[in-house]
Amino acid sequence: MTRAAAMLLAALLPASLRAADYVYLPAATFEMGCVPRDTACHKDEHPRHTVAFSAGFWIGRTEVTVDDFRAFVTATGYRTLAESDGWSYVVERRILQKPRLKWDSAADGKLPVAHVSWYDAASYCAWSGGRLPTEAEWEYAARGGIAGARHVWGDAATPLVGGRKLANVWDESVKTSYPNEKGIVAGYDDGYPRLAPVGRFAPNAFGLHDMAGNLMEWCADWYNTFTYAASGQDPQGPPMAGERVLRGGSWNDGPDYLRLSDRFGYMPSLHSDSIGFRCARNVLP
Amino acid sequence: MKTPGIPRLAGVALGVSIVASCGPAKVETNAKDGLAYVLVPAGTFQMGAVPNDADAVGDERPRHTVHIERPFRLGRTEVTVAAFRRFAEASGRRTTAEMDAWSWVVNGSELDKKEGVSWRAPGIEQGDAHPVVQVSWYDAEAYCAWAGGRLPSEAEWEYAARGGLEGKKYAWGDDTTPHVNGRPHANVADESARRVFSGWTHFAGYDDGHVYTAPVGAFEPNSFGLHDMAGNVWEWTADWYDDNQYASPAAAGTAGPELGVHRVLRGGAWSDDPSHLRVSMRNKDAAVRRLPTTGFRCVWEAGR
Repeated sequence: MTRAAAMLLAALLPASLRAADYVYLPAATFEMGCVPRDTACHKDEHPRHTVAFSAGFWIGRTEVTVDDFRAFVTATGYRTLAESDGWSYVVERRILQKPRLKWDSAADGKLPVAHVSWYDAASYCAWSGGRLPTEAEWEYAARGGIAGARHVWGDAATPLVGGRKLANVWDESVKTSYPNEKGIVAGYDDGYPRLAPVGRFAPNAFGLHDMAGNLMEWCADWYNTFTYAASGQDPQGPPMAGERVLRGGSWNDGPDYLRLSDRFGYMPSLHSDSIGFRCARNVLP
Repeated sequence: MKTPGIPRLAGVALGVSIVASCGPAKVETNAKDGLAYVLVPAGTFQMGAVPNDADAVGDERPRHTVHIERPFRLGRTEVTVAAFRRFAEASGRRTTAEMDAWSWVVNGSELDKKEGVSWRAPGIEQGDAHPVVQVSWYDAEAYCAWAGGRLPSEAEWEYAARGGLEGKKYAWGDDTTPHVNGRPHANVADESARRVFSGWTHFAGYDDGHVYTAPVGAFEPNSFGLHDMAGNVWEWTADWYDDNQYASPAAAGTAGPELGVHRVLRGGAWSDDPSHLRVSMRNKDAAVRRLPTTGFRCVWEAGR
C-alpha cells in the first residue's frame, strides 16, 4: 500500500471509529523485518518475509494510560508485579531498582502507564475484552501501510517530518538532565526529557500515536532470534520461550533502538519506567 | 532459652521450650481457604547453620539470634490443591504458568519446558490433598492475601520449622534420616524416589512411600504441630534473598531485605537429598519460577 492509499483508507473509515480509542486495520499482507539498505539491522530482524493476516483487527490508537489502568485496578483489585516486588526499575543514568515505584507513581493520568510487566499488560487487555497485539500485528500497525521505511516516521534521520514532531525519544531535551549525553537523536528536541502524555505527537498513516518512542510496548509473542524463518500466515511467534517481545523503543532510546524493525526480548516479569503497552482486539464490544 | 511474655492459651502455658515437650498446639480453621493454622508462640531462637554442620554453606552464616516478637498463625500444612482451586475459582486469577502456557517438568536430573503444564496439570500425579505445586512467588503471595494473610518471613519460617528444638541439623532433629522413633517424618528423595530416579542422591535406607508429593499432613508434625516443614515441597517465603543477609545488623529482626531479584525458598522437597533438607538450608529462585517441587504455606493474619 502506498502512503496515499493508506491515508485514503484511514479517511474512509467512519469518523466514529477514527476518533475512537481503537483503529481498525483490515486483513492485509506486508513485508516484515529488516528493510533493504538498512545496515543497522540485527540478526533477529532477518530474513525480511511476507506476513499475511487472514482477518482484520483493531489496535489501540495510543498506549494505555495511567487513567485507563486505574479503571482496571479499581474494578478488579488487580496488583501488579511491581507492587508485589516493592520496587521497579528506573533509568537514572544507569538502571537501578527504586523502592515503592509503581504504575500510579506518575501524577498525570494521561501519561502512558509504565512499571507494568507482561503479565500486568496481558491481564489489562483481557479485562478490557482484548489482547496484546502479536509482534506481526504490531509491526504492520507501526508501518502504517508504508512499505520499506526504516522508521515509523519514514526514512528521515529524525522524527521531525514536514515541521511536525512524530515521537518522544532520547533527544536534545534530555540535555537538561544530562548535558553531556551521547547517543541521542541529535538535532531534534521533542520537549519531553522523559514520558509524554499519549497522543501529543502526530500519528502515523493509520492514525496511531507513539508507535515509535514514549514507551516500549509488550507484544503477545515469545521472543527468539530466529522467529522470522518460520513466519507466514497469522504468525503467533515461537512456543515456550523465556522472553516476551518488546517493540517501538522508548523516551530512553536513541537512533539505534528506534528503527521500526528493531526487536527486543525480555523476561515477562520486567517492569520499568520505559515499558508499557497497547491492546489489540478482534471485535469492538 | 528466652521465653518473653509467655502467652496463656487454653489454660496451658505456651513457652517455646514448654510447647516443645507438652500440650497440643492451638489450631484454628481459616474459613476462607478451609485450612488449619497453628498458633506459633513468640520467642527467640538461633537462626542459621548449627555448629558442626559440615554441609552448611556461607549464606547460612553467621548463626545469629532472632527475636520473634509476636505469636503468629502459620499453616499447619502446605497449601493444598483443593484450597488453591478455591482461590482460583473465587479470584479468577490465572497463575504465572497458566499465562506463560508452559512450565517445568522433571526429566531425570534435568528440568524440561512443557506446554500446558500448570498447577492444574502439574506433570506429576497429585490429588486434592497434595500440596499445590507449579506456583510462582506471585501466585503464592496472591493466595495468602486472598486468604487473609501473607507469606511467612524467612526468619519466621526457620523458627517455625525448628519447632523449639535448639541446635538441630534437621527439622526432625539430628537423626541422619527422617525416620525417628519408628515413624517417618518427611517426604524426601528416598528409596521410593530412587526406584524412578536412579541417578539421584538420596536418604539411603529410608522409604517414605512416595516418589512425588505426598498428601499434606501424612507425616509426623514437629513440636509446634506443623507438618512437612522438611520435605514434600519447597516453600516460598516473603523475603528477598541476600547471601550476606545474616551478617547485616537487621538480621536480628524478621524483616528481609528491601530490594532483591530472587525470593527465598525453604524446607526442601520430595526430590531433595540430605544436604537440602537441613533446616538452615537457604534456596532461592526468580519470583516467576514455578516447579513441580515448589509450593508454600501462609501466615493467617485476619482478625488480628
